[in-house]
Amino acid sequence: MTTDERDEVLANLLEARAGRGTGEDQPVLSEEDRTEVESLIEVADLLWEAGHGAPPLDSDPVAAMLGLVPDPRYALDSKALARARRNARLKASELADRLVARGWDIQSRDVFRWENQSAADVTPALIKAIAEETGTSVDLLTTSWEATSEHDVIAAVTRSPAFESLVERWAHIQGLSLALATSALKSRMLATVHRGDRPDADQLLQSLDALVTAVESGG
Amino acid sequence: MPQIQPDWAALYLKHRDAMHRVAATVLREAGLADQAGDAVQEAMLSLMASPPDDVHSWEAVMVATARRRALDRLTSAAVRHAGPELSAEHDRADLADVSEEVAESTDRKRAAAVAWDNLAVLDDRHRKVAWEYVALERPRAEVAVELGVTPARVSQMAKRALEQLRDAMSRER
Repeated sequence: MTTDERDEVLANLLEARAGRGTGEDQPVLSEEDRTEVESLIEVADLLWEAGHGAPPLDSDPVAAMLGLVPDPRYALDSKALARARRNARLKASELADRLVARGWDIQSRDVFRWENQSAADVTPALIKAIAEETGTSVDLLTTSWEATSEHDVIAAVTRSPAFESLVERWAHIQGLSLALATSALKSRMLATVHRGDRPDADQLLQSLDALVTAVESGG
Repeated sequence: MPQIQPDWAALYLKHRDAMHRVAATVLREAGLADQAGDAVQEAMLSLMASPPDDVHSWEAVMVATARRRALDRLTSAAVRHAGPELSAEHDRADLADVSEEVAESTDRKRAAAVAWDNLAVLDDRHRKVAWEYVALERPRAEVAVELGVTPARVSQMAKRALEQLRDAMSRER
């Protein structure tokens, strides 16, 4: 048995695994060569299994059926969640514990994030679980991001006195005109929204304030 | 008193990868791995229609159910093509020890994850061959065209990649 023949056996077996060729009529291998080929086929099988797990959630019909794909029409409302949790007299950690008991991989910091930063990634199935654990209804916990477009949120921010103040500070530290400073801060907000976050007007203003303050401090 | 339904979404999210993997592995021998998603869907629908009582391990139940729905599909395919010879095997599978099935599935899942992790030791071209030709079973000729080499060269690269992966994995043990 030559190395070439052993390689041919391996190549034929790899083709046969994929349903291309039979893998039959192979040269007879020595014990040593057979062990070598089997060890490589075992690695190939493990790789195959690694490549045949579940599909991505958004292309998994069972996941969609069970509400495991985020839906902008049923997004978790951060303020409504905080209200429902307080009404149920649950600490964030207690709500997380209840969700864990149902099988969800949730930590207290997730609950804090949903209430204070972004809840855009919370799926309808998890919202339903939260509603059941806080004794409220899904309708009271959700908002529709389709109804409130990102441009409405940004328009609300740019009309606010707080935004005007931020623009003046930004223009001062960057040596820009007010128009350019306004444009820069609006672009910053759009980038935040388009990155996948769904911040409300207050959160956008807080984020901009943090940015301006950080640059002021650094200067 | 009505029975409280399990949180199927949470359970599926946690165990769906193992369910798909075991279904694909069962169906692979008949060239039906692309039906794994259908088998998993049938498994979930049957579990939701009649939830089992006194479950000690949902992973065990869900993996075993996915495996059986995959075996059902194998049986159907065998009946369509060559008569009911696989029925006996299916019956034996139904009687198999569920915990043994899950332990095996968990071990394979862990080993497969180690193999995947070790793809990082390969260079880009060998990694492409290992993943696309060996793991995803794309036609060798297609991968060869994309790499600008002959199909025979893809086989050589696959062998080299598998050797490197095997050696890297054995160093981890």
